[in-house]
Amino acid sequence: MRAFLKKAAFFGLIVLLYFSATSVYNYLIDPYGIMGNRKEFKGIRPNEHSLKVHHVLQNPNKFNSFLFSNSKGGTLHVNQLNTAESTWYNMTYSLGTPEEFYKSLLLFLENDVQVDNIILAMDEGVIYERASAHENDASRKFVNLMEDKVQWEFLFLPISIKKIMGTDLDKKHIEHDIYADGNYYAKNAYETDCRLHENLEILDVPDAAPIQPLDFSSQIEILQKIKQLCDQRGIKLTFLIHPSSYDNYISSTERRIQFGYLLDVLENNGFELFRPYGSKLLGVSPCYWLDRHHYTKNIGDVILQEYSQKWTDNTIAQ
Amino acid sequence: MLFNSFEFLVFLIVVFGFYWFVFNKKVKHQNILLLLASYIFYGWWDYRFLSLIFISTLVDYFVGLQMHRTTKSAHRKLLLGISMAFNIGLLAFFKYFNFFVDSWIHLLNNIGYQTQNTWTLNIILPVGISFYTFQTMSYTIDVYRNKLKPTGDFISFAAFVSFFPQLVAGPIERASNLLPQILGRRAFSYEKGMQGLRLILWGLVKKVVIADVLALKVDDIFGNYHDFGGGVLWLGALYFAIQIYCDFSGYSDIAIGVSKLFGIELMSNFKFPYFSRNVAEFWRRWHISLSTWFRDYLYIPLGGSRGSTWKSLRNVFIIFLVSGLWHGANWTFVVWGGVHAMLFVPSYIKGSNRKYVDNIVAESSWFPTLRELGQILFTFLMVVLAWVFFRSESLASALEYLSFMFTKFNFPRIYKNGLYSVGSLLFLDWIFRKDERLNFTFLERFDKRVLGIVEVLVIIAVVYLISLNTSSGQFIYFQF
Repeated sequence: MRAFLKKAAFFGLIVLLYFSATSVYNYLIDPYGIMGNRKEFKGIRPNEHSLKVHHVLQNPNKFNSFLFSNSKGGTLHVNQLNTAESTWYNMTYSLGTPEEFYKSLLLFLENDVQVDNIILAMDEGVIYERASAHENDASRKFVNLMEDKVQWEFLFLPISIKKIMGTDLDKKHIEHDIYADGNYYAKNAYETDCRLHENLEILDVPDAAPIQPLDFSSQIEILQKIKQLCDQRGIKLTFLIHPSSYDNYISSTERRIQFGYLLDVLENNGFELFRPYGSKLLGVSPCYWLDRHHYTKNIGDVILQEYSQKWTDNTIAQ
Repeated sequence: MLFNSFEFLVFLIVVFGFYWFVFNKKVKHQNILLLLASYIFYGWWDYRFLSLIFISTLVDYFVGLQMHRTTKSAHRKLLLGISMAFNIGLLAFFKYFNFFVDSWIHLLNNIGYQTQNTWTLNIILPVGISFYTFQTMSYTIDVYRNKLKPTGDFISFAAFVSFFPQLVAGPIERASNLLPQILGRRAFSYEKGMQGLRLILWGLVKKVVIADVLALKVDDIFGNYHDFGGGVLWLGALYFAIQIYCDFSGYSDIAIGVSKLFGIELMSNFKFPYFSRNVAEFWRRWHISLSTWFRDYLYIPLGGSRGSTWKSLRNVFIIFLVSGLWHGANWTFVVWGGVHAMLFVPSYIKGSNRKYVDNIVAESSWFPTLRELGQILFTFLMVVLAWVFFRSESLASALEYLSFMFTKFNFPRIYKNGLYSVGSLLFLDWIFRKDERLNFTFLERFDKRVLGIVEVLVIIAVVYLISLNTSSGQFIYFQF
């Protein structure tokens, strides 16, 4: 018995030491950006989902217009849309899903956040990313920081070498601004002077229909709920469809065909979609891109201008 | 109280301490402690249902004693009938009442008698009721068959019925195995203790690191199967096969490991079922305590394999269908049992159902032969397809799910990362396949210092893996 107890105590001590180390580390350094100890995120991706929702809930009168999107929306610098009546905040976070956006919106409304305008931006991630996949993901899982309780589970998260090291700031990387406007700032993303000669090519989408069209009922249902909620609350809602690059389209044709099919289904079901660049593909020089999936701020600016114009036109028409 | 919770850790340490250091002088005192601990463990969920366990214990305790006192066959049969009626009645009411009423009304509506359902009740299913009722029934039947002498020690009997490590999800212990251990003096051994800790750790890994992670994907895929192509649906079925195995066998491993810490040996419940070469072997390796229960207390009394082929086949179908129904009050479970019966029948007719009784595949080599590999893959494929019925909400959705798996097949774009969990589990299971109790006797050859370092590294790796998954899921088999 003594030998067993000694061994069990030894193993217990290892476990205790391990968790003590992770909890002290997480609490003091806050690598997941969840304890609120960290304010700057240079080269580190925090849990934007929780932090951005928390920031809005803590400042219910600071913003009244929100862009919900997965990471593609990060370079849509929405503060360009600010007017005397509307102040925008970019709720974008990596792999964000409409199901999560809906929950965040409900939380805003329950907590008396003024919501007048929403852009809900989508790409094929709507089909291929699920909210449930974020349940075990420290960078994406939603934790309601407004609840007055210790977030024990985050104290015991594993020490992440990647989070400790961060990103080499001399290389291309993203900086996250949680506490001003929520936008992403691409650092070192452009080659020297590349930005000056962005020659954007606009290409047609190859004509194709899905061989085995999927049903998408759960996605359509959630988008329907968002639409109904906005109608009830008098919130101006725009469904923005992110443009895609020709390269991305070719590298994963099937998923984009299915996504195109989903958009058709949505439009047939009374959804009005805002498709900048007229549903075309963008052929661009690789020197502009932070990576293959995201588009540049210049493209983002064009989208936002088109959005403003559309809004102005609609207002005049009314 | 969940095995994978902090409160269980505290509970276990406290009970272990009292058991071996305070109440270690007398078996009676240890059994009082076990009984008290078991009732606290169960009452943690819902203390109201403790009364059911207590009444079930009382009924079978007195039935057993009375049965032993009388030699009259009719009297003994009556007592057996009382016990069966009580236990099966308990199960029928709490688990199947609404199911039978719903099915009856559905049938009436289908044949033209339009009627409203006003009979169904809002009944809560008591956790583990299918397990402890089967355990007490086995006691009474064994006493009836004169295979077991009933005990007059009520506390020990009550501790046997409610023994906390296996109370809510098995293994369903036989009185002939567990009761003598509870009545006798237990001794602690270092080897058993270490083996127990290994099993607890391995069970936790299976539950927290594999089953709970796959559960999120499975829930989404089965919940929204219309939205996915066939490739993802195949992944969903595969993940569920691994999820339910890790969830249930993980629980059994922890139960066996915890029992070892109290000097008690439970029966094995799983022996690497996914390496079975046919469905008959699968059922000798999957939920062994239930399949042997049905074999001994249903199949053999029905006549077993004696008599005509048709009669034997009828018996096979009965045990598979009843086994399906045991898992839940839904036709999906019954069909799941029926599918397994149909998969079992070919080997039964050919007489190859008892071909792989004693040995596991590749007993004396690292790899199976090509033929064995083919057999394993085919059996696994059939079992995975059958799981679709088990997991689906209704028969219609199960059939639709299965049809989409084939008709809408495309290469899966998402949820592929679950394959790492599947691969890791199957790899480790293959390594452990001859040693389900994790004796690890081969380790004796190694230097103790090296082993010590390896142990520390394994502990850190396991803790790290567990901490990666922060959600705490219920065990699937609690609902059965």
